[in-house]
Amino acid sequence: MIDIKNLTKSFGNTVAVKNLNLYVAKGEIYCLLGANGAGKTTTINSLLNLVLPEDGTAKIDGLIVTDEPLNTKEKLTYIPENLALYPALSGVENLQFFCGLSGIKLSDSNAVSNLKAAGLQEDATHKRVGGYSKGMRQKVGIALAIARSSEVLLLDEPTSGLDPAASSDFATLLTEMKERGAAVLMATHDLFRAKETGTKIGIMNRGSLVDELNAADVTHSDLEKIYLNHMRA
Amino acid sequence: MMTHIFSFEWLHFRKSGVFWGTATALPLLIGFSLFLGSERINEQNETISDIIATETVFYDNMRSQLEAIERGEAEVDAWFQNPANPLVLGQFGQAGRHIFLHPNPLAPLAAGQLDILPYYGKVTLTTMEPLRDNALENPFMQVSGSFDFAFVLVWLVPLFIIVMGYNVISSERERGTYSLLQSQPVSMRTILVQKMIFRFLLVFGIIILSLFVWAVLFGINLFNIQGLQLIAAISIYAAFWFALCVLFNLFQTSSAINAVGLTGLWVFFLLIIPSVISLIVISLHPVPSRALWITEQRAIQQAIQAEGDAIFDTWVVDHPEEFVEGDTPQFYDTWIRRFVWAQATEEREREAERQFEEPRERQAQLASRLRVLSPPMTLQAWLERKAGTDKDRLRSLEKEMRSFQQEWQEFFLPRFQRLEFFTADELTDLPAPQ
Repeated sequence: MIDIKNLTKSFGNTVAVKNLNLYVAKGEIYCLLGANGAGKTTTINSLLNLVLPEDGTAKIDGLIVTDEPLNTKEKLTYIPENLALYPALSGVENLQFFCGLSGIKLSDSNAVSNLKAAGLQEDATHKRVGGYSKGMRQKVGIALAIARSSEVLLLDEPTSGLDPAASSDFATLLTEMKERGAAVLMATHDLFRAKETGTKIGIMNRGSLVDELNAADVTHSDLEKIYLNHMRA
Repeated sequence: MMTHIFSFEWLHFRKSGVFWGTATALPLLIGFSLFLGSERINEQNETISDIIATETVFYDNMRSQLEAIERGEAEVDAWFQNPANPLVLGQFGQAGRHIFLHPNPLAPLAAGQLDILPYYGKVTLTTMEPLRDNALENPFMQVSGSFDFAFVLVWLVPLFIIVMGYNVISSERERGTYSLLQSQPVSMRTILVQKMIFRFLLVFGIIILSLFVWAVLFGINLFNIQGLQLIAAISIYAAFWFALCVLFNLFQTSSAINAVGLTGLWVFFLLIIPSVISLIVISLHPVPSRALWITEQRAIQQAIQAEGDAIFDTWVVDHPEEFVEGDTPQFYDTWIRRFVWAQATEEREREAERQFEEPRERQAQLASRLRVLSPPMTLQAWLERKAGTDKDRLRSLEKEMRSFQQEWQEFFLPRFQRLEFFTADELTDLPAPQ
């Protein structure tokens, strides 16, 4: 579903991503670990066509992102680290607006049921988003993915700053999305969440994918050791 | 997609103070400007009606008196009381005709040069007196000054547009919604353009709706071709300012920079360009000072006084058929000289005036060409032209007065020169301006 081949991108003299090869299949959660500046966000931005690679290709569902940016965006939902919405509008209205940009018209009741499916309490759905916590806003992002039946989810450190309960709720939602058949690529610093939620874990260092593991094959402590070894190498 | 973005922009605006501020302030400003404009024009029309009525009463009285004299029911003691005397009918006291530049249907929209240049004047055999309302006759001139619809449209509407459009994209960036929008299957350019189109329609709709509603209330007829032209001009002007907003939103600049930049452009187009044009025009075509013109006029009058007898003698030699010799009344001898001198003065003044008028004409032509550099100046000039309050039209009053004075003189002077008095029947056919 997500297919990155030999992707290279530099910013001036700094190589952000070097010869990256990565594949995320349907029903898979791929957690991308790495220190700040390892190239995780550049990888996600390449899939959003926000940065143009110097070499290699990024494909979503077989479509080359740089060739068909709007068609590929129809298949994905992106949730940044700090999902910002229109504070004067309610959760329902925000969801209706962003769905509408993909050509999906959501009735109020559909919007509410999608938000509820994403874990938002019903009484919050008609309240102004200005009063939402970060976790609630992330849930609107998930509701967007549910409403649009997105085949691909790109998440850039979505749980950073969330309290453990909210983080756990979010992980549950991701698992549900995976079960619906979505391919999820999540950049994160949270080793515990990566092991718990992910099906595959990739470790990036200085723009390169230095290791790739099956989440089921490693324990928490093994993962931490492997990660630290790569970071110190 | 457009309907979707429009409906959410509308939802957004309904919850925004900017919209309610604009939707309240703009109609009030337009209403107030039209109120002042319509009052100003009502006063102007009243002035015109009063003068016409006074003039009609004066000549009706003259005719009645003359009829009474002809029937032997009345007598006159002095020549200046005789309503049959061409001098009494064409020169003295209330005698003479007023020339008016009647207000155009769109006159309430733009005061233009009405506070500086006269819109009516009185013509007698030897005088031309341009007149205009002063604050005593028309207090609305003092209240309104140049606060008219043209001012609201040209000066204030761009500020409302800047408030509505300066941060369409930069606010998304600052709010953090930009990245989410970028991940949607719609290009940012589409979103920007459609949001701007919506805001344009909103501002345009508020202006047009307010304009037409207030116009109906104040009795200004805009349901005609001029109304359509006005709509077109407003839409082009609003589109120009929204286009500048789009331009600023295309750069990755902050809302603060956009606001400062757009306000700077407002100052540039509305204040700096007009000042620069004025400087260029004055430098390239300097006009001699007014004091010089007054000195010149005095010199001419002194010369005429000094050469008075010689000028009259020459005229008598040249126009023997226009002069009655022999035992003529004293007023005839006095006034025939005055007419000859007045004519000589006017001829000399007209020649001297040319050196003052020509640079002014060149100034006006150059200013008119340079005006295209500033859309606000172009619109202001267009509105004043449509309203008939522009410099050119108001200056044409003098030409019309001069042309009518010639007609007036041609009617009365030959009769005076031959000392032929009028009958009451002839007073029904006195020349009148078109």
